[in-house]
Amino acid sequence: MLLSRLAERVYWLGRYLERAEDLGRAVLTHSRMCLDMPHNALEGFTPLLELSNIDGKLMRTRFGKPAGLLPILRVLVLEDKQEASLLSVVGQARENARACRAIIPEETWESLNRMHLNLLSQVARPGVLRIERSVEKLIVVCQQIHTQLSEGMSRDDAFLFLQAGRYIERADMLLRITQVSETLGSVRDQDAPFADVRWMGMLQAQNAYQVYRREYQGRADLGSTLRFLLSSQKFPRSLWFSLSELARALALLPHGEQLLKECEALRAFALPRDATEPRLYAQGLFAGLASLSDGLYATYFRVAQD
Amino acid sequence: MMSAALASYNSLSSYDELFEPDGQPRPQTEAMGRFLVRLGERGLRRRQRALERDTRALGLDGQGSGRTEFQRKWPMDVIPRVIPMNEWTRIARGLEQRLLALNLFIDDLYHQQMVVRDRVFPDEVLQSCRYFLKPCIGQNPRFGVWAHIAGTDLVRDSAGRVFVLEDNLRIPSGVSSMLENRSLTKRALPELFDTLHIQPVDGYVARLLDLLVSLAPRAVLDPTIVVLTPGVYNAEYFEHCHLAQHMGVELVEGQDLFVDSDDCVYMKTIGGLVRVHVIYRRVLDEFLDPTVTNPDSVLGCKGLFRAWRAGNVALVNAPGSGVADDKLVYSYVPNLIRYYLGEDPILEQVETYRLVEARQRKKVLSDLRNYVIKPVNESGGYGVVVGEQASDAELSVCRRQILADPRNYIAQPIIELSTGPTLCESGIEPRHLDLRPFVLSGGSRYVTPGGLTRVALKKGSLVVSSSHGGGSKDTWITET
Repeated sequence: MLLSRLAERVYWLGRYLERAEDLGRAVLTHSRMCLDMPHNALEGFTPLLELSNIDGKLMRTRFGKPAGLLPILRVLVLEDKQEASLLSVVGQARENARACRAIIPEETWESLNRMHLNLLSQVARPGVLRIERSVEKLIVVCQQIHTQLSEGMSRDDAFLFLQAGRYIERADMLLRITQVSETLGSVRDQDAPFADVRWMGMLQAQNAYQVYRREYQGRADLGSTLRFLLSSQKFPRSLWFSLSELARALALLPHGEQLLKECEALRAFALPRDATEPRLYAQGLFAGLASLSDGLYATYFRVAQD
Repeated sequence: MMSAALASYNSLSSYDELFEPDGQPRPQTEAMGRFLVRLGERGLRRRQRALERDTRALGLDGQGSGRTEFQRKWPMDVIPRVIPMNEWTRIARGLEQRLLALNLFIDDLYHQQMVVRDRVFPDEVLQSCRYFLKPCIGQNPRFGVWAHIAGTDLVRDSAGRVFVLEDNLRIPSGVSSMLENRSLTKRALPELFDTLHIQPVDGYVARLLDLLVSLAPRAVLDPTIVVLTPGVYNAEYFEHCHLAQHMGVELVEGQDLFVDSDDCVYMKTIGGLVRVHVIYRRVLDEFLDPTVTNPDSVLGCKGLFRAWRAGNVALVNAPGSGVADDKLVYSYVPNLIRYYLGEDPILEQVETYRLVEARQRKKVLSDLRNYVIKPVNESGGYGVVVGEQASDAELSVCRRQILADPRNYIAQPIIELSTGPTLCESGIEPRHLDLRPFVLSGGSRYVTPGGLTRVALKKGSLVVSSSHGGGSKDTWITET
C-alpha cells in the first residue's frame, strides 16, 4: 500500500518535471521570438514573466529600459530566489525525487541531479548562448526522464500519481499560457505588429506548431489557436487530452470514483463551445482544475492527522 | 616467483592478513595470495578501474547519482580480505556466545537485576548509564531478546589474535556496503569465485526479514513490517532504502506513522490507515517518541513507546538495548558471559581501563601517550584520542576532560591493527583494517559469513571509520 507521503511526493515530482519542460520550451521560444522583435526583449517576454508571476514593472526598474535578453534569461532560468525560475523548479523536482527514490528508477535520480548541477554551473558565468544551450539540454533530459519513468516504473499506484501530477500540471500551464496571452490587448488585435509571430510563438511553446499546421491551414488567429490548444482531441498536449490522461489514472486509483466523475465533467466542459464567454470559460476550467487538485489532497495525501 | 610489486610488500610490525613477513602468501590463504602475485600491480589496477566503473554505474559512488552529497564517500579496494573457514567458525561461535550473554544481561537489567544483586555488575555503573531507559523496565520483548541486530567490531593485533573492540547494539550500519562490496567483487574477480568456495553473504536480507516476521505480536499471521528512517538527510539513508527495497517492505518516516487511541501503530497510506506490526527502526532511542524522550524530536512518532509497551508493535532493536553499548559496560562483558552462560568467553576483548576507578585512572593518566581514550557513548570514532598521535595540547584537553567526568571515558592500550594488501597510489601497500560482522538474534541466531572490512586508507592510520577517511574491502570466508 502506497504511503500518503510518497504519493504526494511522486505527484509533485510529476508536476515539477512537467513544469520544467513546459517552462523550458516557453523560454526558448520567447528568446527566439525576441530576435524578430525590435530592440525590446522585455516586451516579448511579458507574457512569460506574467505567467511566472514576475512583475514586469519591477524588471523594468531593475534592469532599466530597454532590458536586454541576458538579464531576463537570468531571472527566468537561473535565479534561485525566484520561485518560478527553471533552477528552482528543477530543484523542487529533485527534492521530491529524493524523497521517493525508493520507487523511481535509479537513473531518473541521476538524470535530475545532473540537470540540476548543469543549471547551477551556469549561475557563475551566465551568457545568452550558454543559457539557451542548457535549456535545450534540459528539455531533452526531461523527455529522457519521461521515458525512464514510463519504461522503468512498475505500473502501480505510484505511477498513477506521477501521471496525475504530470497531466494536471500540463493542463494548468496550458490554461495559464493561453490566458496570459489572451488578456494582452496588443495580441488580441490581429493587425497589431508581430501578432503572427506571437501566435506562432505560443504554438511553438507548446510544441504544437507542426500538429496545428496539419489541422488548420491559413493564418494563425486567436480563435483557432485557442480552440486547438484547449480542445483538440488529436494533439497530445491539449487540455482535453491532458484531462483524458488524468481520467485514465484516476480510474485505476482506489476510491477514485468521485474524482473521476469531476474530471470527466471538466473534460466535457473543455470541448469547443462558441457560445460561452471566454473569460467565464477559462474561470470554469481553472476552478475545475483546482478542485481536482484539492480532491487529491482530501482523498489521498491527508489521511489521518494526529 | 615474486612479482616486483609484491616483492617490496612489507607489513612491518603489523600482522598481515595475506602475507608472511617474508612476503610469501600465508598457507591458509595461499590461493588468494598467489592470485595477487600472478595478477601483479598492473592487473590489479585494471580490475580496480573496472570496479570503479561498476560502482559509478550502480550509482554507489556519491557522485550525484545513487548516493547524494549527504552520503559520505566509501571507496572500495579491489583486493578482498580473506579469512579461512576454520578460523571463522570459531569467531562466529564467539559472536553468538557474546550476543546471547548480552541479551540475557539487558533482559536482566530491565527485570530482576540479579547481576547487580550478585555483585557482578555494580549498581553505580547501571545508574549512570545514559542508555538505561527506566520506561523499559518490566518489558518482555519476544524471545527475551533486546538487541536483535548487532554490528560487532573485531580487530586483530600484531600477534594475529582476534579481539572484540565494540559491540554496537543500537543501530549499527554498514550491512548494505557489505552486500554491495560482494556484488562488485563478483564482477571484478570472477575467476576466484570458481576456485575458492567463498561463503555467500546475500542471505542476510532474507534472514533479516525472517527475524522481523518472527518478532511480530503473537497471533498476527501476516505482519506488516516497515523500516523507519530519520529521512533523506541521514547519512545512512541509502542503506535504509536498500534494506527496505530488498525486503519488499515500506520505508517510512516518523510522520508516516500514527498511534491511535487503541495503542496500535498505523501508517498513513492512500487507502487509509494500515496497521504496522514490526518496526525496524534506524532512529535512535532518544528521538523515537517525543512523549517519552526528546520532546523536540520530529524523527519519531508520538505514542510509539506506549504501543510497544502494550505489546502491539515490535521495535527492533528494542528501546533501551543501548545500555549494553556503553563502553564502560563493555569492560564487564567477559564476566557477564561467565555469569550468564557459565562458559569462558570464546573471543577475547581489548583490555579496558575504567577511568572511574581511581587506581586505574592514575595509571592511565601517568602515561597517557600509551593509550587510546574513548568516550563511553560515542560511535564512529568520534571523540577518540590516540595517545601516541595526539599533540601535547590535545592530551592536556583530554586529561582535563577525564578528570572532570571520569565516568564518561575508558582507556585501552593502542592495538597495532592487522593489515591487508591494498591498492594505493604508489603500489600495493599494507593498510590497517578491522571487521564488522552482523549478528541477528531472535528465536535463533545468525552471523554473517564475514562482514564489512573497513580499511584505513591513510598510510599508518589506525582509524578506519568512514568519517575519518576509511574505505572498505569485500570479506571472504573461504573453505580450507
